[in-house]
Amino acid sequence: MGEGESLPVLKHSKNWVRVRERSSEGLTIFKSELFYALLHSKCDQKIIDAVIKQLEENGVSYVLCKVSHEAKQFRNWARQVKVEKMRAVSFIRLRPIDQHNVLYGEFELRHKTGEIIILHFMNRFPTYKIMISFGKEAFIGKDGQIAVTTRLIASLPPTPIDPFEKLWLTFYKSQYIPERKNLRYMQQMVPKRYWKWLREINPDYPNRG
Amino acid sequence: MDTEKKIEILGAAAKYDICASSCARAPRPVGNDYIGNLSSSGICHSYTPDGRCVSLLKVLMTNSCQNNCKYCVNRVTNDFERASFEAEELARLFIEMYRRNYVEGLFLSSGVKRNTNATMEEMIKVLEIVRLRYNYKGYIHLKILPKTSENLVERGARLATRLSINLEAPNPNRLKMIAEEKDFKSDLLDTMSLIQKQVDRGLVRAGHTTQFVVGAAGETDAELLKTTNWLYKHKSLKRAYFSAFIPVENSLPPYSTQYTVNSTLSHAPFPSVPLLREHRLYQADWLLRFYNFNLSEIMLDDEGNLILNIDPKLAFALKNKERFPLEINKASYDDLLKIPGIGVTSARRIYRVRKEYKLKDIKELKNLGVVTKRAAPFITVNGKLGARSQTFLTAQQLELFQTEKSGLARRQVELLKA
Repeated sequence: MGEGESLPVLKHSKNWVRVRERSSEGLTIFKSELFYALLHSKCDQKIIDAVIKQLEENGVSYVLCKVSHEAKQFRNWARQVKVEKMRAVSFIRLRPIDQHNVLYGEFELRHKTGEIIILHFMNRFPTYKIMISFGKEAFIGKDGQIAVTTRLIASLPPTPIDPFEKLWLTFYKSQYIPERKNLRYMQQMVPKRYWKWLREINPDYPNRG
Repeated sequence: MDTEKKIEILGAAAKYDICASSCARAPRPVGNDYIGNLSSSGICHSYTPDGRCVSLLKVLMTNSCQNNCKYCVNRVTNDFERASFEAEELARLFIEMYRRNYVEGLFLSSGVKRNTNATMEEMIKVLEIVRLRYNYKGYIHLKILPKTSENLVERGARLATRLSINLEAPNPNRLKMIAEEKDFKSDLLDTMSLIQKQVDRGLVRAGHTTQFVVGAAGETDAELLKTTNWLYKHKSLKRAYFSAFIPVENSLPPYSTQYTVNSTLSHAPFPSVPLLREHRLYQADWLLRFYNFNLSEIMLDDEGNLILNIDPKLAFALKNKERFPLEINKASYDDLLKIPGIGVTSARRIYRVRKEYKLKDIKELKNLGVVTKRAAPFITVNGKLGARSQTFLTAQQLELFQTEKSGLARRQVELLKA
């Protein structure tokens, strides 16, 4: 997906048609921010239109620097989407299913970030088929192609206990320096809603393989 | 010994190496038969209960060491369990952890087992397996041991994303107090020069770094910052890390600053170095690297240490009150960076937005990311004072600056009151 151009929500925006053709360093950043903001689950067409109008009237810096309420909202959406993507690529654990050359993971999303997340892993592991289940739907990526399915869980074969998970837990424990204990900061960096995916933080999370 | 036991011992032995950076800019790898890539922003895959990011598989090749550095738990005279990885074993362990998205890269350091070059050979063998057999294109941080030969540094540079050598102390005298066998110039600085040569050739994508043990040799912050600043200017250093000395089991106590250079380490134990000191050093280091501060603009107390209960940027602003308040629509970029509450990002935003739009209200600055509570006493916005009070030096700040614990010289307080 390109940055903004192919997103249907912008097709009928007259302001966007005028802005799209222009280019500058600021506009490149703006288009990238727009791409992310449009993936937000609460993205509102009216705010986007207002922001594009402000960009025309006051310049791109006015929007990028969040001078108006709408611009601030717009950039917050973009930031929240980027944060979700970052946390997903950090906290998704992949399970190798070697007989099928598959790396399989699970996660929950609030925004429409499934595609950019799976692209991250496809670039990182090009020889594998990447399968990630995001609750009701799952993304499958291989050779630059992405498919979405709802029947992934049922078709996965059972896998043996993973010995490397135990090694990971041992390594994780070894890195802790008790004299520096700072649970508050840790919880700030790993909000509780992600704990269920992280066995090292949540020992109750069942060993899925 | 099984792999699990080794990772427990050699992981714990490596945890005091602070660097957890895992980012580097790089084009997408060519072809489709590789594993791994570099990320332009760091990725932390977990956090330990001490709030530190776990991004790299950080281990030692071996914790056997022939050196007897007094701050180090792995020193030769310490009686505890030793372990070593086999190159094949470590390479496979790393790749399997990477495939599972547990880690973002490998951080490999080591004790000096038989001699430096033999140990470095073993470490480079791990990297060769990872890079050449597994075709891994991601992040690797390789620790270069003191006195490593030029040939091995070059081989390491071709395989690693980042190289580093730990100076541990800011100058030869301080180093002698904690590591008698090491020579500051010939063992450390000269090896760093070999690394610098490879960095300057463009072989080491993420540059090279170093680390200091803070408080182990009774050094002052002034000594640490002076050396750090020199390294940035003359050794192409990417970044310095500061690790507050923590007296762990079997380690010797740190020096107190009251001791002279000739003191011995056999004195009564002292409390560990406050983590706040480490934090203030990082803040000062940030000012040098990103805020265009000179070393002389970093405020120190009479003993040459940073003031613990006030951040270095606020200390600068309070000491130089004649430079403030600054008009936000006119101040130069460098001056914007000097204002407390304005970081690099918000200074850039202000600089950019005011080309097209005149900032009129302090609330607009808040939207730009400025911490207005801190910045207000030091700025005017469109001619209006940021703070309600006519004086930009708030009572609270004065109080902070005058506390006895701050160690700030009385004459400085007098200067501020004047």
